[in-house]
Parts: sequence; C-alpha cells; structure tokens
Amino acid sequence: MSMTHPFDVDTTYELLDDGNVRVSCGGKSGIFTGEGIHVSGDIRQADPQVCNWVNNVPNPDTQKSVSRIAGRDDAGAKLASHLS
Amino acid sequence: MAEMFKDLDPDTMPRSPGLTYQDLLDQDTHEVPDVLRLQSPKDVGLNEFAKERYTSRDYHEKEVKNLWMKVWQFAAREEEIPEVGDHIRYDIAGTSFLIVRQENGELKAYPNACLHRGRMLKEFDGHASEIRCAFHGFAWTLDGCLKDVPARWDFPQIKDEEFSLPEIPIATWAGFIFINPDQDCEPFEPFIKDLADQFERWDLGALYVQAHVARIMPCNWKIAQEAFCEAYHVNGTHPQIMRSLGDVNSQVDVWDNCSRVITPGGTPSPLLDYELSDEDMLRAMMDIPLEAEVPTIPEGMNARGFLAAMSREGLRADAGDKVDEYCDAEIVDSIDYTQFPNFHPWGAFNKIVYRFRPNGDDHRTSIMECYQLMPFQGERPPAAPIFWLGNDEKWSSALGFLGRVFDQDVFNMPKVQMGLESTYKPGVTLSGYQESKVRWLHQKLTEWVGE
Repeated sequence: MSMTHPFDVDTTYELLDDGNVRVSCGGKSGIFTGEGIHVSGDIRQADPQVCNWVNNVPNPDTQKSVSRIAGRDDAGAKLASHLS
Repeated sequence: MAEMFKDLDPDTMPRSPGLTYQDLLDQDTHEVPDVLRLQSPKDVGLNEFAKERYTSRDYHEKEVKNLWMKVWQFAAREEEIPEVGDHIRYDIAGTSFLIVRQENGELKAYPNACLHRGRMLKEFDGHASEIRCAFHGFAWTLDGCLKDVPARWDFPQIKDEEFSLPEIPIATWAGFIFINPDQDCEPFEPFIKDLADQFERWDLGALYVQAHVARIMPCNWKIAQEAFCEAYHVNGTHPQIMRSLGDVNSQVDVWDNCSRVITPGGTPSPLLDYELSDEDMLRAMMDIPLEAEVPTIPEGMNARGFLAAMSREGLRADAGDKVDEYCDAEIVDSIDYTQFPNFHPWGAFNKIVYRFRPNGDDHRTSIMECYQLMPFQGERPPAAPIFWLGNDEKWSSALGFLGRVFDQDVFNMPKVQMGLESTYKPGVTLSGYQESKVRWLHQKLTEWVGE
C-alpha cells in the first residue's frame, strides 16, 4: 500500500512488511508507526491519519463482512475492464 | 421549525468556491430525482455550545430524563424478530426494554422488568412461547397478560387484569422498529414525516441486514455521532480521499426532526490547489496503490460517471435492473441523513445505517453501531446477528474499506473527549454551514434537554 499526500504531493507514504510506514521525500525518509509515532530516520514528522490509513489494510481472508462505498469495492478493477 | 431557524437563500448564501452540489447534479448522466434537488439551508446561528454537554454528569442525567426517556428512538430491525415469540432487548442509558413479536404479527414493547421483584425478563435476544421470569417463575403471555404465578395462593393482592406488563409506544418505518419510553409521547407519524417523505424513493424496508457491527467507544455518544455528521473533517481525518471527494462542496440541509449532508464523490476537494486528472481521482476513490495501474476510463466518460457505471454493475446482481433507475449521484455520493436524536440512515444504496447512544449510564463511553443494508433477489436472507468488536479491535476487521475510514474517525474520538475535559475554553466552535448538522443536533438538544 502506498500513496502520496494530497497536501504534499512530493511525500510518499508506503507500508512496510513489519506494519510500519516509510515516509519519503527529497531523498530523505523516516519510519513511523500506524499511529504516526516516529520510529527512526531523518524525517521526524508525518501525518498520523495517513499513517493510519496506509497501515490499516484488512486481511480479506478474515473479513467478517464485505463493504462497498460506491466504486471502491475490490471488484472495481475487474468491472472496469468490462466497461471499457 | 420556522421559529427555530431562518431559511437561507441557497443562491446567495456564503459557500465554498468550486462547483455546488446542484451544479454537479446538472452533469448527471441520468435523471436526478426531486429529493436530491431539495435545498434547505438554515441560519443555525454562530453560538458556541458548552463543553459540559460532553463531559458533565449533570448534563448526562438531564439527557436521560428529558431526552432518552421521552424521545422516539430506533430500537431494532423488524427482520431481527420475524417469528411469533421472537424477542429482542433494547437498552438505553441504563434502562432496558423488551420487544416481542405477537401472534398476529404485530409488535409490542415492555419495560424489561418482572412485575414481581423487578428482575429483567429477558437478558438475551431469542425466542419464547411465553415471557417467564427466571427468578421466581412469574409468567406472561406474549401479549403481556398475566399467565402464571407460582403458589398463587400467596398473592391474594394480585388481580390478573391489573398485572399485565405495561406497554410502551412502538411504531415501525421502513423495517425499523422505534420505541418511545414515554407512554404519553407525541404520535410517531409527525415525528418521522420529513424523513419518511424523503425516503419514499429509497425503500430501506426492501433491504436486508447484511452486517451489524457494534463497539464501545471511549467518548460521549455525541462525540462519536458528530464525527459522522459533517464532511469538513475530511481534510484532517481522511486526507487520502480528498482527490476524489468534494468535501467542502457538501450540501447540508436542515429540517425539523431530520437533517442531511450530501457529499459528492468522483470530484476533487476544492481545498486542493492543483489540477487533478480523472486518473488521480479514480486512484484515490478506488484506493489503488501508486505501483498499480488505474482502470482506463472509456472515452466520453469522466471519473464520476465511470465510478457510477462500475458501481451499477457491481450492484446489479443484488439490486437487479433498479440500478438503471438511479442517477450517478445516488450511486456515487454519500447521502447521510440524521433523524433526531441518533438514527442515521443513508439514502439510495449507500448501505450504511449508524446508531450512537450512551453506553449504559456512563456519559464518557458510548455504543456505536453500523448496520449494512443490502438489496437482494428472491427470498429475504436472514438478518446478520450483531457482532461486537473488542475495545481494541479495528472496524476494518469487520467492515473492510468502510471500516478503515471509521478507524480514522475512531482515532480522534478519545482525544476529543480528553481535550474537552482539559480545555480552558468554555465551549465548542462550529462553522455556520458545513457543520450546521451538528448545530442542528445541539439546537434540538437545547429544546429537549436544556442548556
């Protein structure tokens, strides 16, 4: 899971295998918890809610129910090919 | 209503730059229903509301007495008790009620208390052929008539006709059961009328409970509820969706007992000061990682229309060809209603129904619930039973993408409670328009509970 911050498009948030989030910008980086707490690295501040978002990827195998907000369900990509 | 709030002119009132919600509706690929063309902005004032509304025991006790024991409130879905003898327990602010399906299919609600020594009659939801107390065995028929008193000779003072379970008012709308603890309350119909009129097109009674998830929240019920009553918080709490959500372009409408916020999807936030491509919007809306490809939007279609078309196809198996009657806005936008005080059905196929209430008699914790309602073909599927998340469990573990969004809101809630306990500022400051649904709630609370 990775994304750039909408208010700071040069900054990338990327989920690491250990569940922490790497924040990178201009050749520097920092590691943060899913709550936005700094763990290591040169970048020492991050948006906690984006860390929260990037870190919080549910396991589809353990989902208790499926959810859909218009257009955002996992079926989206498959359906896109159907429409194009 | 007229005495409480003044109408604003939607054409001249202050509002965010960028497209209005009504402008977006003009671009819809389908006919837009009248209900989305309604506009009811109100001047709800600019006054602050005291922080004690969230922190004070006194205010909570006034809420219990003047609100929860007096107001119509959503208690259960009809499909949760489909058979004769099915019963469900509904608790509010330290008080318990029992709702029972009758022989004739109707519903009755009773205070959940034995008339002998007061034990709760039913502590679990379930099925029964009679209502028998587990303490000394007093029993009533499903319709509340006294049926059995063990060792009856020892209760010469009891007259059967005076020992029926007291009934409290009960009513239904769109598959939802409402009760009112006040036996002298106002009728239900005028209470629900505004909401019922607006949902005529969206029959929530025709949907089934696909999921019902609940969690104890570490904050006052209004802190939890208000986190879902405006889109102004999106830039701080859900920045990842700003590229595809017209947060501050939301339309807010206020009536007497209900209000709504409609937030457009598939359009960028006016708070972003750069141009966004349809691909950018699609990536954000569908949560596609940077390294993955975004689906190609067919020529002549924009991101909003494309998302609507995809969602229609996604819903078709369950909703049938009715999806073709729904405009893009009904498919893509968040149409979030609140019926005072705490019932939040979303319009069209948005699936969501929230409920927030105090956790027992504790004003610093609350219960948040989310029902997901889905269309179906053929026989009605059974209602999903309630699933309680643990205090540290994430909503995403139960509700996937939607739960991830909730988890961001939940991240704020205990901090808001702690902040309000700590602040030297006497009240909370709300915006005039974007947070007018929160203002409306507090104005109604002033009316019901007092300052």
